[in-house]
Amino acid sequence: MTEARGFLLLLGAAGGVIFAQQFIEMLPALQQTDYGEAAGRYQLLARAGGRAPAVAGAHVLIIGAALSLGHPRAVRLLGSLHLGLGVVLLALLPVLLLDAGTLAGEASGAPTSGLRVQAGRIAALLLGGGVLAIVAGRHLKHWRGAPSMVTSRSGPAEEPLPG
Amino acid sequence: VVSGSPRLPEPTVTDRPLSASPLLFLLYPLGLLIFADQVTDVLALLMAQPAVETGSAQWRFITFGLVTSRITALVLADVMILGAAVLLQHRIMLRVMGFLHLLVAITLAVTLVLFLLDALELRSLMRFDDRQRLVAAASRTFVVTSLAILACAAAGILALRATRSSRHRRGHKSGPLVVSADDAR
Repeated sequence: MTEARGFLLLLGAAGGVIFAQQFIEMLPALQQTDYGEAAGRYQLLARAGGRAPAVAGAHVLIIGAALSLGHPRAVRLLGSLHLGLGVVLLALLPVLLLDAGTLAGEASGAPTSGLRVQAGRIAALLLGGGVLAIVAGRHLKHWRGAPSMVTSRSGPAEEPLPG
Repeated sequence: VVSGSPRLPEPTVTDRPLSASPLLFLLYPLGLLIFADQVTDVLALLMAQPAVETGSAQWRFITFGLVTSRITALVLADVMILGAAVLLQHRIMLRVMGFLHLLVAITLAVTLVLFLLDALELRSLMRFDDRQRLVAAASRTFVVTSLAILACAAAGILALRATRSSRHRRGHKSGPLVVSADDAR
C-alpha cells in the first residue's frame, strides 16, 4: 500500500468516524421521540439539522477518498446511498412544514417568529441537502471509473523489450 | 529500449482531474448551504432573546460569543468553497474569496477589540465567582477569534497572491493555480 493510498484511506475513515459519531449521538433522540406527535417529530428534525455541517463534511471526506482511490464499486454504492438519502430528505420536507404549521397553530397568540426562522432553516437544509444528494448520487452512480488519483509517475509498469 | 526487469512505478499523487468536476462544483452550494444555515441559526437564537440592545455591553458580549461559537462550521463551509475554487481553477472566485477573507479578518479584529473592552467593563461590575466564569468564556472566545483572524488573513493573502503571481508569471490568465512537480520541471 502506498503512502498516498494510505492517506486517502485515512481521510475516508475519518469521514466514517465523524458520520458514526453523529449517528450514535442521535440514537437516544431517535429512540425517545414520540413519532405520533408533531412536536416530537419537529424536535427530532431540528436536532438532526444541527448536525448538518459535520455530516456534510463527513460526506465530502468519504466521497473524495472513494473517488481519489478510484474504487468503482464503492463510488457506485455511494451513488445509490446518496440517491436514497436525497429522496428521504425531500420526503421529510412536507412532514416538517406540516408539523411546523401545527406547532405555530398551537402557539395561539405567542410569538412564532423564532419557530418560523428555525423551520425555514431546517426546510432549506432538507431541500438543499436533498437536491445536492440526488445530483451527487446521479454523478456517482454513472461514474465510469476514471483513473485513480493515486497513479504512477511513470505510468504503467514498462515491459522489458527484447534486445 | 528498457532492459532488465520491469520498472516498478513510483507512486505519487498527481494533479490529474478526478473526472469529478461536477461533484467538485457541488462543493460551492454545499458550502453556501452550511454558511446560510449557521447564519440563520445565530439569527434564530438572537431572535429568541427578549430584546436587541446594541447599547448594552452584556448583550454585545453574549452576541459575539454566540457568533464565534459557530466558527467551526463556518470554517468547514469556507474550506469547501475555497477548495472548490482552487481545484476547479476558478480565479475570479478565488480573488473574490481572498478580498472577502481580508475584509472578514479586519472586521473580526475590530470586533474582538470591542469585545475585550466589553469584557473588561462587565468584569468590573461582577462578583468574584461570576468574574471567573466571565474570564473563562472571554478567554475561549478570544483564542478562537484570534485563530480565526489569523486563518482568514492567511487564506486571503494566499488566495490573492496565488491569482496574482500566476498571472505575472504566465503573462495571461490561463496558467494553473495548482502546479504539480511534473509541471514545474
